Amino acid sequence: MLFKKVPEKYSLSADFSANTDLSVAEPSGDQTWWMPDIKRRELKQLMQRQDRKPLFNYLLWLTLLVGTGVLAFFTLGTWWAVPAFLLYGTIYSSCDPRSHDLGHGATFKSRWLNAIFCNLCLFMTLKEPIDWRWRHTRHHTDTIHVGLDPEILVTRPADLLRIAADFFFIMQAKGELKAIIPHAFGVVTHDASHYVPKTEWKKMFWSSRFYLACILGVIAWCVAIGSIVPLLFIWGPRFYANWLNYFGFLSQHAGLAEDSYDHRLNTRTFTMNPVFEFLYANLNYHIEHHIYPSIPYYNLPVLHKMIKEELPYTYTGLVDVSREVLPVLWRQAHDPGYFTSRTLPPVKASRVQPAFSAAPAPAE
Amino acid sequence: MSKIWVRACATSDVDEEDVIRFDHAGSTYAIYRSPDDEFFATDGLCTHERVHLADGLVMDNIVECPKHNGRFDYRTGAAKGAPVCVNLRTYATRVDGGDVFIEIGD
Ligand code: FES
Repeated sequence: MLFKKVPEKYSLSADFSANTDLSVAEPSGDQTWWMPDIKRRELKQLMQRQDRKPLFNYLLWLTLLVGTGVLAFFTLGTWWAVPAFLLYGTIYSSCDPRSHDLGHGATFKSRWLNAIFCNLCLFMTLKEPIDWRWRHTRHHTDTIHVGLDPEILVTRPADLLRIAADFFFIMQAKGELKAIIPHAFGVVTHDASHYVPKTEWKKMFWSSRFYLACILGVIAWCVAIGSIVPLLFIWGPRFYANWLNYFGFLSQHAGLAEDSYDHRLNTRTFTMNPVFEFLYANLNYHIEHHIYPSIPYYNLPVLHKMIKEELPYTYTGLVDVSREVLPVLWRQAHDPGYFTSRTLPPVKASRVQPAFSAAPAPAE
Repeated sequence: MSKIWVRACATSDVDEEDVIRFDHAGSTYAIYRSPDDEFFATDGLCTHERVHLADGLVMDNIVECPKHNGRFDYRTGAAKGAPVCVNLRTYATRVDGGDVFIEIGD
């Protein structure tokens, strides 16, 4: 086999949803996640959404996408097509990180704007919305918990070939197609059966059928005209221009502690230049996003400044963070017990809030 | 157990368009103040994964859970879509002399 088999312990083992039709509803027992020391009034302020700021951002993104797309089209048949498509593809691939905040419903104040852009971005990045939504929900409940989180990008021992293949989005696309195809035929995958409630299955089947029909449609179009140009514009960019997302996504959790209840130990925050942060939709403030998924992407840098003293070192760019991540993964290929242990600042006024446990003593 | 009225908080404890947590006899509740200055009460834990809704965001008549952003209409308890599929239980409220009471029990 080309790729190493993922160890059994990483496959989902517990049903997971309190939504009645999945049997076990104890996602994290009585564990509590670390929370920063932040006042409710400030938090509320940070959670406020608006339409103007994200709409401007999204219209700018779409304008850049169309502009570079036209440019790329006119360079076809020349060597200029290489940089032109790389530029178009990089802008196109921004759809993936953008879909995260949108998927949480945190980007726009208006629900319909959120729904339109969320579905558009997920479609562009080949992620079927129903399966992804429930899968991602689980990732947020038990971030990097073995056997509970279906979105662990690098399992241990690290498979370097698998990691390298994802530079071209290959493993992720394979994973998405391995769900879309059976779901389109009404067969629920092992993973989805653990996190998607039965009440959502029908919706997931129809959504997958739509995705499969579109994929086959574009392939048929390519065959009919004897050219791969349509694929260069749709979905193709996720493969040939995945570089920014690749380093971004790898930096989020890979090589860090498993089974921790502190996002500072299993997640990284790193800053980037304004252009990269625009394309990556501020998902580089990843500790902050995990602690408060309700906070829209445009307020994550503000939150970062507010809680900075309670966070471990913030990496100053993709090169800085990759200098830590890549050697760790290299070592994890041979030493599955190894991980990066992050140094936390001394405990200040931080507090722990009960997250999943029922209320303790009455506060009358 | 028959129904009883229990004092939950002072009206001034809850900001407009906000929610606070109220614990009583081993149970936890969420007390809301709507933009129209009305008070409402629901179970305190999200029906998805039992997270305290008092840490969430209130927007008009909706409370959004802080964990996975599931939404409920806190006036009726209605779940408004994935990942929340089960409605919240609601409780009657009344305001008396600057205090908010909720009616609990079977
Ligand atoms: S715990 Fe409330 S939406 Fe998941």
